Amino acid sequence: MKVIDIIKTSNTNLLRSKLRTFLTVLAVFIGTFTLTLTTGLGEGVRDFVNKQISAVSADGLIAVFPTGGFGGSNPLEIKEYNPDKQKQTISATTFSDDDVTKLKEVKNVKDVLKVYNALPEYITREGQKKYEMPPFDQHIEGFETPLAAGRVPDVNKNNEVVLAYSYLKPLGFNNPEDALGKKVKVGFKDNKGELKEFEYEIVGVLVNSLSGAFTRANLAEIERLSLYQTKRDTGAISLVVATDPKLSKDDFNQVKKDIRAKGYSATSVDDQINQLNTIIDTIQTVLNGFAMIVIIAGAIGIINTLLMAVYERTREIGLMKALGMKSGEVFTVFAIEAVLLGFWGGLIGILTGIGVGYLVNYVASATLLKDLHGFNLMAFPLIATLPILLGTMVVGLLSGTLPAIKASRLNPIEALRYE
Amino acid sequence: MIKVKDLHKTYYNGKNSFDALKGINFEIKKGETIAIIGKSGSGKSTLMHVMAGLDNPTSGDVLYDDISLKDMDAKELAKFRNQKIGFVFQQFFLQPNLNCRENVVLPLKIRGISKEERKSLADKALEEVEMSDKALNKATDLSGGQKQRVSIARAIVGEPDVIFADEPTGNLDSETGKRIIQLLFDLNKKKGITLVVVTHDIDLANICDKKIFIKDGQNIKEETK
Repeated sequence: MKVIDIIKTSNTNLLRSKLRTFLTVLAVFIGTFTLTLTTGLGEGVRDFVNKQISAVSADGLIAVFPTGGFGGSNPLEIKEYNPDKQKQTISATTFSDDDVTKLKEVKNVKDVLKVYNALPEYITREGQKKYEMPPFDQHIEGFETPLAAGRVPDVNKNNEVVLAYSYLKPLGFNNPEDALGKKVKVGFKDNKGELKEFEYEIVGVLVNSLSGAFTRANLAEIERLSLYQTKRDTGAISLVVATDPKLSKDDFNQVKKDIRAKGYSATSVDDQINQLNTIIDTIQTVLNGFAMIVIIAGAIGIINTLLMAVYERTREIGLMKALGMKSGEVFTVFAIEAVLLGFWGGLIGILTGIGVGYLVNYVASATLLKDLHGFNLMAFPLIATLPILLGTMVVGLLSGTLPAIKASRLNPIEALRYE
Repeated sequence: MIKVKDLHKTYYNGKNSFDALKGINFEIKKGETIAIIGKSGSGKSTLMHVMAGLDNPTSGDVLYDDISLKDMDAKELAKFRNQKIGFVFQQFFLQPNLNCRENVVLPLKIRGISKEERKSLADKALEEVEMSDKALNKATDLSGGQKQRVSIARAIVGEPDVIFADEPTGNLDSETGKRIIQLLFDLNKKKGITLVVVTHDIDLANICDKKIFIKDGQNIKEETK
């Protein structure tokens, strides 16, 4: 029998009992639909996290932190300033010049930068209220700074800042361009609790994202503020180790190992990405597991449908065999029916899943995720969706094996006598 | 030329066994019409199945022009049935969901013949059985006699050497039955297809060239016209 005739026969058989075929496909559909959504969600979040982290990344840089670090509230949530409440404190463990010297000895390290921390009480400007503010961030040459408008602070000008996008509205600006050239005042307390305001000129506005939630000034200004706040040379809260951006991955990892061997914690952007991806992977695996269970239920549906079909078509199979159809061809007809059931369930499930995913993205970006630029809740790369389709076809094939073997082994004489 | 040589067939069912054929021998010449006569349970159906390559004998052999069925595996037997044998069954076994032409075409589809050629051969076969006007009718819409005509068209469409007709008139009234028999004999004369009719109807058997009587799994008598 010709392959095309076998496929057509399978297709005709499926169309013979349309309702049953529809219900069987529906079961597979529900499974792949769920799997597409869970996969899409995982891919979307992973994509977002990677974009966010690479927005603050620079090639060949390693961040060295003391154990601990600082906590803080959600930087996207802006609250009015309350002078009676103090939350932000400077971390106790700091780095000295000795640490810098030690790290410079590590092979392949080009430079070590001290990172200071300045914890403002509030930010405000002429005619506006005072608002709470997360730690002042430093602009470091070499780091990518995603800007919505303007430029980065001049290395030599301590009174320039790039403003976090989320502060535009509270400070009375209509758009990023509006803020350029305007002055803001930031209040700092020293270690005795004495409040002092510093004035800055807005030279740029960061894009609306998590990494853009921290207003930045140049390194020297942050160092000056840090010294003002503590009234002593407490040293840096973290260090940034610069290596050659062209360094191979192995050498780069070796640098991190060497730093850790000296008793520091060393993380680079890819560490953070890996860590987050591991968490995302775990969540995704659990969600996909649930979807898989639904697909298995669909597979049992396929087995059931085709077993019924074998009983119904026993005489027909007997006739076909008497007329010279080979057992292998009978097997193939049923196997292809199973693959087709899987294929249609899979294809419709994936397409519907993607459709619903885009709808969710559309609604979410207008409401829930309005403040997060470039974040699609769901993403459907071909590399993630195509395996789902192939997978359901394989599941179909496996489900069809038992009924197909049963059909192919029928004895034509007995099958023709079957009532 | 078909030679049936010392055919034995034993069915096993657990510890019980049943000898359906106990040594059957005869020869059929090319183009002959043969009646295999016997009561139900005599073994005539089993004999037909073994002769047509649908079932394997326990011992003995069937030879078609010195080609032995014994030496064939399942695939070769399937190919042999498809190319050399046509079947006409008492219950017709037409597929109800297909129209007449689609039913007739089945042996050619299985053989792997192209769609266009299948169609023209099927239409020719339907013409031979005078069913051209019903080519596109569903098999379920036909009368018994018409169904048997279509099944005869399906049997001859692949131009077989032998047609095995198992009680071909069993489900028909006597008048329709006579016409079906006439059609089978006409095709035998016109195309030289050997016709083997399995029946318990002596009137039908009497018009065949040769009658082979089967009783308790043995051929007890042979009569030539």
